[in-house]
Amino acid sequence: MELGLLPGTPIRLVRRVAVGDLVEIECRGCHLSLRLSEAEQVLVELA
Amino acid sequence: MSSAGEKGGGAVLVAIAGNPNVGKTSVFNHLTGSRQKVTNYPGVTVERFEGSLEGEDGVSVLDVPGTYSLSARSPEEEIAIRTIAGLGDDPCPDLVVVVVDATQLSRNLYLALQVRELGVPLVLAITMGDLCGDAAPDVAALSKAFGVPALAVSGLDGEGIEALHRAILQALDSAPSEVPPFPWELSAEIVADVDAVFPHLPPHWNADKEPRRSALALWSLLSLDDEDELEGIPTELRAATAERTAAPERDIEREVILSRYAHIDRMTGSLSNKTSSDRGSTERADSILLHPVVGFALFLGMMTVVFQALFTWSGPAIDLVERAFGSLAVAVEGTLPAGIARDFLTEGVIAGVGSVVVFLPQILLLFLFIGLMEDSGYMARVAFLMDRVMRAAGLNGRAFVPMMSAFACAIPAILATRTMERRRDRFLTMMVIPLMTCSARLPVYTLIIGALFPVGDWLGLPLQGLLMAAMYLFSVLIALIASAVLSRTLFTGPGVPLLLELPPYRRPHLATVARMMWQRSALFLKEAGGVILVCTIGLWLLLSFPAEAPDAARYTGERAQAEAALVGDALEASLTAIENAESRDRLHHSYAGRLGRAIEPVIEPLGFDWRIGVGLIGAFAAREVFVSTMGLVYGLSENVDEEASTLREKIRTARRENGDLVYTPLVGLSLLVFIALACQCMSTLAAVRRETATYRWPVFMFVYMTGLAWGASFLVYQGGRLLGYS
Repeated sequence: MELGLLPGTPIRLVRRVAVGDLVEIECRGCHLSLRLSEAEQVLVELA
Repeated sequence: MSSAGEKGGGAVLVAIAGNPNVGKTSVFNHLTGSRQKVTNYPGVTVERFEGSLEGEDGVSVLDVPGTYSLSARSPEEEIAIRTIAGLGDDPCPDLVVVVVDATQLSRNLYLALQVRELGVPLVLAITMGDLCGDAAPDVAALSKAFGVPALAVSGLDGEGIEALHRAILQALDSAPSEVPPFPWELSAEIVADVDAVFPHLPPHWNADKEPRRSALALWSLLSLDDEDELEGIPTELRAATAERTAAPERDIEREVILSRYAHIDRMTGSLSNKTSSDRGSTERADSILLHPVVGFALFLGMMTVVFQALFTWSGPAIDLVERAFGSLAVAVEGTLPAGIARDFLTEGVIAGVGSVVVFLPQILLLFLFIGLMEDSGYMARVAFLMDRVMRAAGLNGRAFVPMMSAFACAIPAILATRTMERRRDRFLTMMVIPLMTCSARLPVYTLIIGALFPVGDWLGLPLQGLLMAAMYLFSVLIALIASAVLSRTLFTGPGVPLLLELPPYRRPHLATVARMMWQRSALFLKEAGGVILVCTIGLWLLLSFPAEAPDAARYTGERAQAEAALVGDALEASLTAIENAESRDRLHHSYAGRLGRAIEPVIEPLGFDWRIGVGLIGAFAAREVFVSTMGLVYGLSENVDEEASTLREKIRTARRENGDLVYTPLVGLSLLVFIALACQCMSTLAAVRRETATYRWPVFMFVYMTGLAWGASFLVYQGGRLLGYS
C-alpha cells in the first residue's frame, strides 16, 4: 500500500508471465510486479 | 565553516534519503566529491556511506539506504528511520535532502512527507526531470506547496548540484525559527491512537514535542507487529501499539496511508497529473527480455557468460597473483637465513596474504557484472524471471545470481547476496551457497576420481567425466533440498509479498559501478581478509610444529651415509627420498598429524584413516590444499599437483597396517561425498561471519554442513559395504 496502490488509484495491467505466476502492473507512473496470489487482493474496476 | 560553528562543536550532519533507483547515490557522489568513507552499520550488513560536503569540512553527508517508506520492513528501512529520526546511536541530522524522482512524483513524495512529519529541516532534490518532457513538475510550485526548498538536479551530469549545495548551506545557516507543525490533519481516531501510544515511546527518542511526537507514535503504529525484525523496541511500546492495532473494526495503517496520499495528491494536483511516463523503449526491451521463452534463453545465455568469466577469464589474473606471491616468497627465502622465522614469513604470512588477494579477480569480475545488472535495471527482471523456480526451494528470485556464481567460488557469491533486501532471504541463500561445487573442489575431485576410478566407458560415455558431472548435479540438488528444508524450518520468516519495482532501463553509469566494485572488494579485503590470514597462519603452525621429527638424528645419519656412498643423480635422488621421509615423519608428529589421529575414530566409519584426516584438516585452509597435504602425508615433495601420477600411484597402493588397501572406489566415493558436502573453507566462514555480523550463523553453517557430510558419507560407505562392496 505504501507504494501507492490505493483505493481509487488507476492501474494498468502490463503483462502476465507465462512461466511463473507473476503480473506486471503500472500504477502512479511506476511499474510493479506482484504474484498472482497477492494481485488477487487488488480489486479492479474496469475503467 | 560558519554553520558548523553556530551549532557549537560537533559536525553538522546532512542525510540524503530517497527511493531506490532515483539517482540518490550520484547526487551524493556529486555533493561529496571523492572524499568518502565506507563502513558498515553496526550489527547489520548494510553499507554506510559518509563523506563531507565538498569544500565544507564541517558538514558531513550521509547516504541513507534507498527506501520507499520509513515503516521498517527491511534492514535498509530500519536504518533509514534510525538515521533520519536520530533514534539509537546516530545523532539526529540537521538537514535531510530527499531525492525525488520526477517521473514518480507522488510515490517519492510519500517518503518526503514522512520526513516532513518528523519536523527535520528538509530540502527536495528533484531528479529525472528531463525524462518527463513537457510534463516535468514545476519545481517552484512544488516548493511552495510542500513548504520547503526544492531544486531540480541531474544525477548524471551534475547539473543543478551547485544550486543544491548553496541551498543546503543556506538551510543550515538559517536556523528555523520554529519547528513546522504536523503537515496534514489527523482524524480524531488517529489522534486518540497517537495519545495512547505516545507515553510508551522510549525517552531517548526525544519525542516530547510536536510534530515529532505524533510522527514517531504513527511510525510505531505502522511498523510494529508480530513479524517485524526490529530490535531495541521496549515491550511496553509493543504492547501499546498492539492494543491499538488489534481493534477489528479499524485498519490504522490503511487510514494513515490514505490520508498521506490524499495530502500528496492535494499538493501535487495542480502540478503534474501525468501518471504514465514515456517508457516506450523500456516496454519494447521488456517484451523481449521478459518473454517466457526468449527472455529466459537470453538470461541463461548471459549467465553462461558470467560463469565463463568467473571460471576462465579470471584465470590469468589469479595466476598472476599466485606467481607474484610465489616470487615474493622466493625472494624472501633468498635474503633471510633459514629457520622458523623465515618459514613463518614465507609459508605463513606471505602465503596467507596471497590466499586472500587471490580472491580479488573473481570478486571484482562478479561485482562488475552485478553492478551492470543492477544499474541498468535488469536485476529486478532477473528476480521476476526466476521467482517461480527459486520459490519452489524457498529462495528469492534474486538468489539465482549468487547461487550460480558459487560454482566459481563461494566468497564472491556470499558477498553478492546483498542484492536481496530481506535478511531472511540473504541468510538462507548464504547458508546453502557453500554446497554448490566451487572451483576449489575441482582439483580434489580430479585427484580422487583419477586415482581410484577406472578409465572406462559406461554406456559409451567416459566414466570419469560422468562422475565429475554427477558431482555437480549432486551439489545443485542438495543445495536446493537444503534450502527447501531450511526455509520451512529455521527461516520461516514473515511472508512479505514479492513486490518488485521494475524501473525503466538506463545506461549503466560506469563510475557508479566501478565505485561499488572497489568499495565492496575493499570491505572484503579488510574484514574477511583478516580472519583468513589468521586462520592460514594457524594452520601452518599446526602443520609445522613441533618442528623437530623425534628421530631427526637418524635422518642426519642416513644423509651422511648417502653422501659418503653415492654421487651424482643417485645421491640427489637418495637425498630427496630422505628429505621426503623426514617431512612425512614430521607431519606425523605435528599437531595436525596428532589431530588427524585424534579424529580417526570419528571418520573411521566413513572409511577414512588418519592420513585422510590430516588432508581434511589441511583442506580447511582451502579445499585445494587437500592435494598438497596428501602429497606431504605420502612423503612426496610439497609441490605435487592433482595430475601427478606418482601421487595417484601412492594413493592407489597405500595400505593399512593390516595390509588392506586404504583407498577403494567405495572409500573414494565416500570421500567425494564428504568433500562435496562438508564446510571445509574457512574463507567462506569468514565471509559469512562478516555478512551476518554474528558468529552464530557461521557456526551453524559449519555444524549443519559437517553433520550432513558425515551422515551422507556414512550412508555411502556403510551402505556400500552392506551391498558387498569393499
